[in-house]
Order: sequence, then C-alpha cells, then structure tokens
Amino acid sequence: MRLLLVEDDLKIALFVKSGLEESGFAVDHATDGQDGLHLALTEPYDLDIIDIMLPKIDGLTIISELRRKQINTPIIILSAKKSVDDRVKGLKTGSDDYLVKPFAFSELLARVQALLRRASGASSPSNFTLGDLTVNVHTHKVVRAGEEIELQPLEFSLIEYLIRNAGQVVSKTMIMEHVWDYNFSPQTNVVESRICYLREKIDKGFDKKLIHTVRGVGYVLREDS
Amino acid sequence: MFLEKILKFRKTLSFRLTIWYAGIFTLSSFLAFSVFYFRIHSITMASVDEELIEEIEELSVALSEDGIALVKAEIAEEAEEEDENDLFIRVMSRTGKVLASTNMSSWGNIDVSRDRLENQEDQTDFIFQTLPVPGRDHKARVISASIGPKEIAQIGMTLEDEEEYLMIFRSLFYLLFLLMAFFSGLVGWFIARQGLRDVEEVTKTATEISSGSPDKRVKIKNRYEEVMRLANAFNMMLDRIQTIHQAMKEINDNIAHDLRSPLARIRGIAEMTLIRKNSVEDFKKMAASTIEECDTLTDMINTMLEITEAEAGVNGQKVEEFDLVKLISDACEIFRPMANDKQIVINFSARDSMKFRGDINKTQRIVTNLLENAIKYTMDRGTVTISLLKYDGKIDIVVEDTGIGISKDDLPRIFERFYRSEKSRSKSGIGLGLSLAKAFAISLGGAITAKSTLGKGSTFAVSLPS
Repeated sequence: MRLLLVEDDLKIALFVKSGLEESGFAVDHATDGQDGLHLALTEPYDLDIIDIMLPKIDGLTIISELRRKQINTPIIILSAKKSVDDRVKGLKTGSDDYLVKPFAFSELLARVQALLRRASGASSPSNFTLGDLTVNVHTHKVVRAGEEIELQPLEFSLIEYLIRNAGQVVSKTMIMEHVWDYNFSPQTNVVESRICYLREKIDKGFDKKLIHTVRGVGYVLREDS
Repeated sequence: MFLEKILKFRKTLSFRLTIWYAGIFTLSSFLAFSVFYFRIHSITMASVDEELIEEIEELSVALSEDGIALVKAEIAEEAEEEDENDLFIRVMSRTGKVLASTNMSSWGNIDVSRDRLENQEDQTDFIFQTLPVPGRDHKARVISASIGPKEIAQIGMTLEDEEEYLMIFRSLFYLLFLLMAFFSGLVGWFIARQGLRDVEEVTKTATEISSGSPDKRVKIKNRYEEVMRLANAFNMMLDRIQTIHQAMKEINDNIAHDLRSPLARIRGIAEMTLIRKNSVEDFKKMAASTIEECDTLTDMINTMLEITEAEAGVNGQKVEEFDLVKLISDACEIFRPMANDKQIVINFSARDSMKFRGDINKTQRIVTNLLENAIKYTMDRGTVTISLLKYDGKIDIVVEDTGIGISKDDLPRIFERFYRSEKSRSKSGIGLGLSLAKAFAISLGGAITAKSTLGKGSTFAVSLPS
C-alpha cells in the first residue's frame, strides 16, 4: 500500500512517515502544496494524508483539484483547526476523514486502515478470533477457551472494538468516540473502569492476558505481552 | 487630490441630503410660483376679454339702433379717445369689405377668421385670438364677432401693458426662485449637518476607541431619537465587546498559569530522565507521562475553546429532538463501573421518555460533567441521585450527591474557569468541567444552579426550556 503525506512540519512528517512505514506502508512525503498536488495527480496512491495549512497551495485546494479531476483516492485531512465549521468544510471539499492536531498516532493508523478497508470494499467478517478468544459481532457471543462469557452491552461494544483493531493500540479518545458514541470529557476515568471490568471477565484466570495497557497511549488486544 | 476630495464629498450623506432638500424645496416653490403666475395671467386675460366684449356689445347695440352710420361715428369717437396703437376697431361685411375702421396702419395684416364666424351655429358667440402683430414686440388680443346680419366686427387690443405687467412678475419670480434654491440649499446643508453631527460624534468615539481608549462611550444627548438609538446600540455593542475582551484577558491569564504547570512537569521529567543514568524502562515512563500531560493540555485548550465558542454563540447549535431519559440512562450506564469502584449507587428514577429539542452533544456533556463530579466527590458507599422534572415549560435535570460538599466561600466561584477549591485540588481534572456545563446550559437557553452543605453533599440543577 502506497500513501502520500503532504505536511510542511518536518517533525510531524517524520514521525507519521516512520510510524506508517513500520506498519508496512510505503510513504511518499511532500513538504508543500505544489509538490503534493503534483505527486497526487501523477502517482497512483492508495490514500492521501493532507495538512490544510501548507506553503504554496493549501490543502483544501489540493483536495478540490483532485476531486475535480475525478481522482477519488481516499483522503485524510490533518489539521490544527478544530472547529466544527472547519471539519465540515474539509469534508465537504471531498476529504473522507478529518483528524485534529495534536493526534494520537494510533488513531491516525486506525483511520488509515479503516479507510483502506472501506475503499477495498472488503466486507467485514462476523467472527473475530484472537488466540482462544472468539467474538461474534452478530450473535454477540464471546467465547474464551470454549467457555462462553457473559458481557453487558457496553462491555461487548468495547471488546468488539478492541478485537476489530487487534494488535493495534487504540486510544481512550478512540474508544469514547467509537464505543460509547457519547460526548464527555476525555479526562474521565470511565474507560479505565470499563477496561478493568472487562479484564475481570476476559482475562481473569488465564495465564495469557489479552488486554494490555500501553501507558500514555491506550489499550491493545494482542496475544503476546 | 482636490478632485478626490470633491468625489469623496459627493458621496457624503450631508451632500446627498442637501441636494435632496434643495431639490425638493426648489421644485415645490417652482410649482407654487407657476400656479400663481398662470392664475394672474388668466385673470389679466379675462379682464382684457371682458373689455373687448363690452366694445363689441356697444357696436352691436349701435348698429341695431341706428345703422352703420352710427357705428362709424362710434368708431371715430373711439379712435379719438384711444391711441390707435393700443386699440383698433374694424367693421366688415361678410364678404370681407371694410365698412368702417380705425387707423390700421400700425396693425399689419390682422385678418378676421371669417370661416370660423360663418361656421358658428350660434352667431352671437365671440372668437378670441391672441395674435402676433407684425413689427411689434407685443401680441394683441383680438375679438371677432357678428354684430348684425351682414356685419362682422373685429376689435383688437395690444397686450403691451399686460405683458409688461406679467413680465415684472416673471422676473420677480425668477429672482425669488434663485434665492429660494440658494437658501434651501443652505438650510438643507445646515439641517443635514445638524442631524449628522451626532453621527459624527459616534464616528469620533469609534476612532478614539480604535486608537486605544476602550472605556470611551458616545454621550447620549436628548436630541434625535434615531441618533440616540444609534448611540445606544453602539454603546451596548461596546459594553459587550469590552466584557468579552475582559473575559478573554482573564482566560488568557488563567491559561498562561494553568498551561505552565503541565509544561513544567513535562520539562522536568524529561530533564531528569536525561540527566540520570536511566534504563529504557525509565525512558518509556517519561514518554508515557509526556503523552498524558499532552493529552491534558490538549483537552484543556479544547475545553477552553468550547466554552468561549458557546459563550460567544459562534458555531450555531445543532438542534434535534431526542429523549432525555435515554440520554441520562446511557450516561448512568457509562459511569456505572466508576461508581461501582467506590460502591456508589446511582439512582435514576426514569419515566418512559421525555422529549427535548436542543443540541444533544452539549446536553450529554452537561450531564456527564455533573455526573462525573458527583461520583468524584462522593465518598465510598455514597449515593448519587439524578432526577428529571418537568414543570411549566421547563425541564430540570437535578444531580444530587452525598459527597464532601462545597463550602459557602467556594460556592459562588465554582463555575469560574480554572477555579478549584482546596479540596478539589487534589483530585484529577482541569478545573473547567463546571464552567463548560454552565456555558453549555446557557447556550441551550437554560441555567445551572448549585446548592451545597459542606460534608453533606451538593445538588446541581440544570434548568432547560422545554
């Protein structure tokens, strides 16, 4: 998978690029709008990550230019502009997603993968398995080592989200937005408490823990510790 | 430069008003003069006509009593009395033969319109004509009429006196008209200046404010209602701007203070990690704590922006209808594990549903902020009760806890940004939760109030318009 990153802040570009490359993507980086537009027009990318405030040509112009030329590569906007108006403007111009700086890298990664998944048109399976844990998103049945585990609805949503993103760290904010779909302060401890209860049910009594905390970043569901 | 000034001046309201005023005034005085003039004109003409008719009737009577000879005598008598240049009398047969006449030498070729006389049904009528006299400056008024079965009489009078008399009127009118135009322009200018002087004052105040004296206000003089309203609106706007400005300044001070602490922590930890001989594990810890501090800072900045935006009323509301009961039950469900950790019971006695129209995100944020606070400041095995009351056009969301309570001194200040009481300082948080709740409640058209007894618990009530 080949991605284009148009970002003038070199430090941000560096960590996004290296992070994405570690996750197995090939990343081209353009430092200004002109180069970015040129690359996006001439090279076949699977996804573009574009900053709005760029030298020479701004991000929104790049996007509208691409869409005008019928280039429908999925686009994620990275911007320091947070207001609802800016988001709406970004999405209306033709981008597919909007991420506000500062952002968690894990969130960017998750969004990149989600967009690529959507673009490839792959239907998501109903059964997710990690080690001896199986989660069926249709029947809401959760089984670990042959034993069915009873979960409350919110706990189920959480384990579903974690197993869909198995192996990837998901931040607290991502969990709040995707699992709860409820607007509250990101500083609350609700996620911690909920994870705590989920651990009790999923991991308690097993030598191999599946739910791991990555301090400062978030949580990850994976087999190795 | 000068031309530019003139062009600019032409665009001023004073100039326009003056032009309009002068224009309308001049036009209406012109109309009044015209009416007056034409009236005088017609009265004058009518008196001339009357005189002519009298003459004709005299001739007609003379002819019918004593025949053409007396008519001739009468004409001769008339010619003696009057200047032959002022008046002529001529009697003709229907074939056009002159039977008698005064000296016509100075009258040129004035003819009777015999056709018109003959075509007349009633032969007693008169025909009046105003005709130019060849070789003379003034026109003549001429009457033609049948005075007998075969005779036609024609009498002409010069309009010299009348025309001169009207001429005097006309020139007087022209003079008056010019004076009127001039004075109306002057008066118009004066009135426009007078009316706009107060506007100028508003402009002056605005200029003064933009050059750095924000406390200035337009003086409200009891002069023109419109200008007073303008001045009032202007002053109100200034008050509002100053309030916002003041608030922004306070916020800035607070932000500066509250941003420094996390920055100091980040910097300190990073520095210590670098100075000491540390393991990879220590570096990982530093990275993690940096991320946590950054998240706090980001949250703080975002919340500040949300409060400011809500207070300024930008980013309009997303109004939709939703069920408040479900919204609160969901919140309780989300916070249940946090409450369970402290063995706190959350009571929410819900009715079936309660529809509310408003911004769902803001409502959620208000409820979660209050609920989180309630759980945070309630001791283990306490109770948090949420109730939903509906009464005369209002909906109250009441969150009651059996927590540590708020002291009387702190109570009035808890909604201030970054205000944290002694007891809450040790707890996590950024000191903005209640400010945000309040800003959101107000932007939803409601209000938020707090009651508390130290050591017993607190009650927060959000009152929303239903």
